[in-house]
Amino acid sequence: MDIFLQQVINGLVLGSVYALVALGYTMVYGILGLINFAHGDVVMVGAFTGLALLKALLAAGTGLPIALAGAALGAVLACGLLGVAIERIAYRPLRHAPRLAPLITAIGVSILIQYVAAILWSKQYLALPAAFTPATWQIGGASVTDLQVLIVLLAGVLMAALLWLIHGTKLGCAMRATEQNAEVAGLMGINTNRVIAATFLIGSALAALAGIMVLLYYGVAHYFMGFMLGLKAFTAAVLGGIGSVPGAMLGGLMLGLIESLASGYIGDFTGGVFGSNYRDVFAFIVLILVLVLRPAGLLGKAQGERA
Amino acid sequence: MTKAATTTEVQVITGVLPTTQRVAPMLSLSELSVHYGGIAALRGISLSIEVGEMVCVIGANGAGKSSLLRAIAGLVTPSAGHIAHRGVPVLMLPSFERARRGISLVPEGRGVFPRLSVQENIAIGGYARSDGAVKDDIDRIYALMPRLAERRSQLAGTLSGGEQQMLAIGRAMVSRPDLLLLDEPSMGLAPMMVQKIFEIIAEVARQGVTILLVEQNARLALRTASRAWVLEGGQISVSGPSAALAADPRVRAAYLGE
Ligand SMILES: Nc1ncnc2c1ncn2[C@@H]1O[C@H](COP(=O)(O)OP(=O)(O)O)[C@@H](O)[C@H]1O
Ligand SMILES: [Mg+2]
Repeated sequence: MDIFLQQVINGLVLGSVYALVALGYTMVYGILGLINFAHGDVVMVGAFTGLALLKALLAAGTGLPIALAGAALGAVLACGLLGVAIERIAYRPLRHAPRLAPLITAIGVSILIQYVAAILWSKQYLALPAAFTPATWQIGGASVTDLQVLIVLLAGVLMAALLWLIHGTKLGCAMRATEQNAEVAGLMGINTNRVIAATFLIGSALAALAGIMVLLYYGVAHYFMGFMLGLKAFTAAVLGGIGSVPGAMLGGLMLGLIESLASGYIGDFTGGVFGSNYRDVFAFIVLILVLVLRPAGLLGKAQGERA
Repeated sequence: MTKAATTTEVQVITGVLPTTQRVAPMLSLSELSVHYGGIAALRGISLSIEVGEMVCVIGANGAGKSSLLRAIAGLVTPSAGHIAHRGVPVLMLPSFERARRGISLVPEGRGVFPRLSVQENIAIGGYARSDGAVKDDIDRIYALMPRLAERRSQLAGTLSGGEQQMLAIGRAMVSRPDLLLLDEPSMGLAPMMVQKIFEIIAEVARQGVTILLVEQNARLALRTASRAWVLEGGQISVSGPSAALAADPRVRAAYLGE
């Protein structure tokens, strides 16, 4: 088995998920200057609502592709609403408050969502129905499943669509204008509150789909799953340059690859002292290195710009 | 009877008024005050601007000029007073709705979007418009300001100060405002460029847009506008036709350096 190729494939899958979640962090940061620490928990809600819908649809005798599409749609709607509600209730009243206030609120919202989820869906790991056994192909000594291909392709399509939305539509232009100068955007007749709500809606919809991907990939959902995933996606956003949309895409993919390759080889490098169960460590080594060496990230806009 | 009432309403709405009825002023302020915390920036400003006028407010740095325009555009909430635009109170409207009504502010420091292209900056002026003529208006702006046409795919942040000022005025014009508020358009520009900008402003006025210009450069402002107010410490100290103000010994001593 070719370990390198295998870890690249795994890394791309993981990285696709990180990238989708990182986009939500970076878009909200770009427009509000706020780290939405509840974003990882929106992913978790996406996984649970997706799981519930999937079970219900399959129990009703729906075919697998339709059940998946229905679960994805339902999760997107639920998370979109949740994201818009979080902004409206928790962040908008604090828009002009000192920066610490919305930050602490974000942590509060995160904990609230986790415990509501624990009440709704229990603190157990909930597993996928047994219907899922992905088909596996062998490529050059590595194996790849149809689910992995689906995740990477879907993430690619979503990111291309997002870039088109941001650079090719009127809403996207309003989003960029609001990000650069919200006050002047208002002078242009742009309802900036609505643009900000749309930003949360889009980020949360992407988070919902990422949640379903994680659910299908690992086969389980858990009320605390958004915490580590959120931290890693946040790391990916910082790596790419927080506030930069292409940066979140690049940072997500890179973090997925780094994590996979490092955990694939750590046993060899340390003579078996550390195993791949140390994989979570690498994301945070990356975070520390970026913050020390290049705080603006790979594609961040640190250099002074003329205004 | 119902029919008669409806007809009158339609006349008011479409602006087809009987000749005896007075047209509402473009803008009227009464007893407008603005405070920042405990500091008064404006203290009871009352003034009225008729449709199609080009007027100015002059005053030293810190006199309250920007606060006045920002209050009219909805960027600061006045602590007291009233603002009516074409007879309609607008104090409760957020800035984006005032912009959609036709009140357009070109802010101090221009406020172009630095990481949008020149073309995107201009087009965003037409954001709230749904008629099909936005593209024609953009072409007219480019015809009036060929420097912008040459640089249309450049990022606005890379333009010179004068070009950014042109862009900010052009962008405002694409929204088809009926009231244009200009906050120190000459600030920080070389004399040649100032002249160019004021030619553009004169052209905009010729097209029938009502203009309220705010300037520290009193000589230039008084030459361009028909009426003027002098703002001192948040209050109007002198007002009248520009020619009269330019001849007023107090104004000459304090603002024209004579
Ligand atoms: N955001 C603000 N917070 C506190 N004070 C302000 C603010 N903006 C303006 N001021 C004060 O209000 C007064 C008027 O300012 P401004 O309207 O900017 O005057 P001008 O445009 O004529 O220079 C000044 O004393 C200024 O320091
Ligand atoms: Mg000022």
